[in-house]
Amino acid sequence: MSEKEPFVQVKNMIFRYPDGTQALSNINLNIREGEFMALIGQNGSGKTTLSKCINGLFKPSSGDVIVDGQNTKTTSIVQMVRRVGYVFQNPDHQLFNSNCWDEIAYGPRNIELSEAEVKERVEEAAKVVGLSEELFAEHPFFLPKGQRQRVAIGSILALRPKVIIVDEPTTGQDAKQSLEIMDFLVDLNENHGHTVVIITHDMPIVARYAKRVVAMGNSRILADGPTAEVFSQHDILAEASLEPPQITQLAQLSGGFGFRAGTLTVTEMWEQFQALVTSF
Amino acid sequence: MRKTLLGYVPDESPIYAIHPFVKLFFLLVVSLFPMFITPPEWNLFLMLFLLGAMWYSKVNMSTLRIYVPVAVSMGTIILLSYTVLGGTHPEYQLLYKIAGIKIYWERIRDAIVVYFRILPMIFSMVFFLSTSRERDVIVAMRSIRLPFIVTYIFAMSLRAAGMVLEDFHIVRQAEKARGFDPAGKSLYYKIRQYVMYMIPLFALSLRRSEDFTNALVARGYAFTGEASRVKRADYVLTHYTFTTLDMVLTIIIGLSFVAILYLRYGLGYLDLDSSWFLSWLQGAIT
Repeated sequence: MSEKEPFVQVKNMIFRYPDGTQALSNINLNIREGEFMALIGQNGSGKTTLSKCINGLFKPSSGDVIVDGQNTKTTSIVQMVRRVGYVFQNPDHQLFNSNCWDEIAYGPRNIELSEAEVKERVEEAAKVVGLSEELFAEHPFFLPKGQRQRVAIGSILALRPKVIIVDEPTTGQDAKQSLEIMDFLVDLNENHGHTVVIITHDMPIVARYAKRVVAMGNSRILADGPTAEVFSQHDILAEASLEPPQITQLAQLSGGFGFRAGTLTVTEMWEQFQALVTSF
Repeated sequence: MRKTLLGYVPDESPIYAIHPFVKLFFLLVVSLFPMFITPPEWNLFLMLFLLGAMWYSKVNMSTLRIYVPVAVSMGTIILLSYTVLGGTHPEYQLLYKIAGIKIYWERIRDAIVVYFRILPMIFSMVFFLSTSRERDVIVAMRSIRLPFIVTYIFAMSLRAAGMVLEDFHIVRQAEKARGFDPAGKSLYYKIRQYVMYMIPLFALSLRRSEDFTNALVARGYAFTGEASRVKRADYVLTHYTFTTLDMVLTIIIGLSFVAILYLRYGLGYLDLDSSWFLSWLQGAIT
């Protein structure tokens, strides 16, 4: 595969569920290594289905999903999980073992690594997710939700996938926990070389962390571009039943005073305000 | 497509023209038929009739493959229970003696009769669940004026079962997402991995049951006391009409049952001695 080729290529993909419901229509999407991307859209827009197609859990009804040069239609799940990791929305769905160590080791053992390598990967993943050794023997179900989420992410990290898709990472978390999880994902992206895709309804989180946004609605991709650019497209956001963060809306309403329509955070707004005041 | 309790049935299926009560009546009565039919060949015909009904109702027949391992293992267990673990019966006809274990014709016969009685019962349940939704069951139960609490508990059980099934699918996906691929693995490996489903499913069920209870209490529901005796409007029943076709089908099902009882106890048919299949089998193996 040439270096310039995207790591994930979704080409003219259609996906239908067994009941005939068409969940995805003519999807075309490229994801390059090192991106931090957000998939947004109302419930039922096809975000999770698209992610499961990228992960190889679902096979396209037509079209292709090429990951790292491999077509998901012909690649086994064991090979796919080494490339794309998928963290489910509810950590309780993905904790199978009676202690955190075995939980993180579950994936590496499934892909038949040696016990020495399993140990190395578990320790590495636990360190990245901030899971202390004292918790290794604990039952994952009895940990607080924030930590269960970390164990779930750690269990995917142990497979060392290039791309990590995290479904609703901040659901059910308080503000502090949400920021902790997001900072942790940024760390994975910037310092550990993982491409991160988050699926979320939390627009302030998207504005603060995502560099690229893919907005979905009615089983299609409605917009795809830099976060500020997508949040400036009112018609498309309305079609996807989405609203940009309040600070972005305020900046758009105050456009006449010179504020950028793509302002995403309070800090950005404050900097523009200071510049405006100083210019008088 | 409409989602049923066991899968999906297309919108154009003729089964939707039938009142839920008729489907429930069919399940309750037809699943009794094998109790009064001893010859395996007649129970086999009943099973084929049920398969035909499923096909006519546009049930996805390929999903029936999942019952094959159940049918095979159930048949094996029944046969072993009746023969190898059947005990000593000097009054029976001894066929073989293998490693001290006596195999009698009567025990083989009984195993076959029992097996072919259970299969149509299971198929009638599969037919019902494949063609009914949760709401159909509630409508059917309310149509025969079962107390609200009975219907409600039954409906909640069905919903809980549906949720567990949904969780089961997600848990399976989560296992696959962590590299679990049973293809080509030993049976022990598969069993060990499948058993692991139980951990998240059990924990989720516990959490859900608490949520259910809290949600009921939060909305003032009580199983006892004044609140449980409040008369409730059956809004859902207003969406269904009991047509002439439903009446005809109900009568046919009822009369069929009466006919079987008459054939069995009035005319002496459908008993052990009238089975040509068992006569042929006895001749073949003795």
